[in-house]
Amino acid sequence: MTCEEENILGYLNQILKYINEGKMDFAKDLFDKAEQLIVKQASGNEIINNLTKFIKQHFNGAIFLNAIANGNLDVNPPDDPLHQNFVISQYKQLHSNLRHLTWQTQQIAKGDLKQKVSFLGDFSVAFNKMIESLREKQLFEEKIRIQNEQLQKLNATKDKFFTIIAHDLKSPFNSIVGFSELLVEKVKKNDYTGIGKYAGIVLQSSERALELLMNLMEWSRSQTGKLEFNPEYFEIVKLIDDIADLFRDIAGEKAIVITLNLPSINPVFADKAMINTVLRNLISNAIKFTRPGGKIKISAHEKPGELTVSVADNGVGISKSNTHKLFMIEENNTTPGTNNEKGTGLGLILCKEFVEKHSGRIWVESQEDKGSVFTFSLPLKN
Amino acid sequence: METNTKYNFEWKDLGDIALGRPNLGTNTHVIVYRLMQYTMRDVLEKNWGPDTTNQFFIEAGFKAGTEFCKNVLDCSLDFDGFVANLTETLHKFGIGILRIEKADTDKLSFVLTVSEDLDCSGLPYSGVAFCDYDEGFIAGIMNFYTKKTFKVKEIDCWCTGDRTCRFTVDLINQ
Repeated sequence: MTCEEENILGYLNQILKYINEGKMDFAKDLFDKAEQLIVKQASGNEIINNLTKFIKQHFNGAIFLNAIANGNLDVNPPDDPLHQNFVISQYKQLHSNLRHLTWQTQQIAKGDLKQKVSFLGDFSVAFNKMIESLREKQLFEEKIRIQNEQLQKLNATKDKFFTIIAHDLKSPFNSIVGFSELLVEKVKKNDYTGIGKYAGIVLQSSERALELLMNLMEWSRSQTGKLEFNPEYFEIVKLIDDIADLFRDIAGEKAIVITLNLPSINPVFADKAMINTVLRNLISNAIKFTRPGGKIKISAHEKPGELTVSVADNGVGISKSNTHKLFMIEENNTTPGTNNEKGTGLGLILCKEFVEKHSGRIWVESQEDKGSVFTFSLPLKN
Repeated sequence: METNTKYNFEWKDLGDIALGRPNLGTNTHVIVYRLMQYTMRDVLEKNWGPDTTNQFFIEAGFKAGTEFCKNVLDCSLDFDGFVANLTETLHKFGIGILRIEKADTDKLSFVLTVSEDLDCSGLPYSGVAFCDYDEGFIAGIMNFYTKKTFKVKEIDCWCTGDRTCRFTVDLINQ
């Protein structure tokens, strides 16, 4: 071996040391020098040529791995067969996995618990278990939230029930008892002055108590699941007509005119008793909140797949802040009528419950001092 | 300028598959798809050369991505939701398995991979990235979703020895 060849071997030895120490820039400088020397002084030495080729491949592989380890994926593996192997592509894949895992972790942190890791062996199993347990926790919290809502509703229902029993139902009976006693006293004394008025008050209070009791009874049955849903085909126009007739006398006491706008409508498939309750409550409310001399218009409209029934009045109307509370049991929302008629707020809650049992909707459009339109819809069967 | 265009693609041109293929439905073999794509590439390259052919594929992919986004994806979602929707849809349609490697939502710069890609996964090594159509497809989706213009470049491909296709997606400042 010549002195120059020994020199070249020394360089190659140093290059290997630099590569092992990760000093790639030093290795590259020295490699360039070594290559020039080999061309000039040792091109015929097969051992040196093979050794150089091996170190070059090792160097390129190390450069590639170094780039991958530093997160640079925009690098291609060296084109020699030694390094274009499974290990190198797996290194690249590993890095890609870790980067995607970062994205997935960010999504999980934002609440996307559908993410699943399908790589990285045992780690994936542990990671997916962690997501699963987070998801279970989320479901559990959701369940607790729903239960809390149900409890609050139950509590509100109970409060409503006690309020009605303790106050609203007591009030008409106080009137009935008080004015009946007065009537008895007057009759005993053969004093008939004002007895017509007192008897009227007794009748009105009895009607109010009866209406309240009927609502209370139906509501109690619906709350305890005892109210059966029995749909049948019936003529809704006739039902509206009949109920409007029943209310004409009461409306007449306030000089309110009830008009109907009912086109010919095919029989509907619905629970007649429930629709009866809905109509009774809407008309009764309209009378209650319409000033003497006012107007109530009941109309029905059939369109493909749906029937809507509206009860419109030109009464006192409802403020925007109150319209959304009307159908909520949680809100204790009662307002005295224009003749100081008392109510419980139970009627509209019943209406909503009964309409929704038919997969229908109920809503109100109202303007203060202009009046209100309560509308409910019923889906129509083909 | 006067053009001789006889055809302008619209989504409805894909037809009513349920009506037309009551037994075979929406399924076909990947080989059939690739057969059409690579024979078409062959003919186009022979007539127009490789560069123009690549451009044809990018433009066709862009149009496909735009229509796919408009008709299949949910563009009302925020970016994270949109990516989840896109990932699920690409998987459902058998286009590929999308993964996000880097996402800079401020600069609208992304690195994403598509594994088991419909166009190229399993193709022989050629040393040249082959997914021009995919580049256009991704650009079309991003463009339609963000209403901004993107440059999509494939930096790794099955055909260059990788096991996944890797794309950079960058906003073009206009």
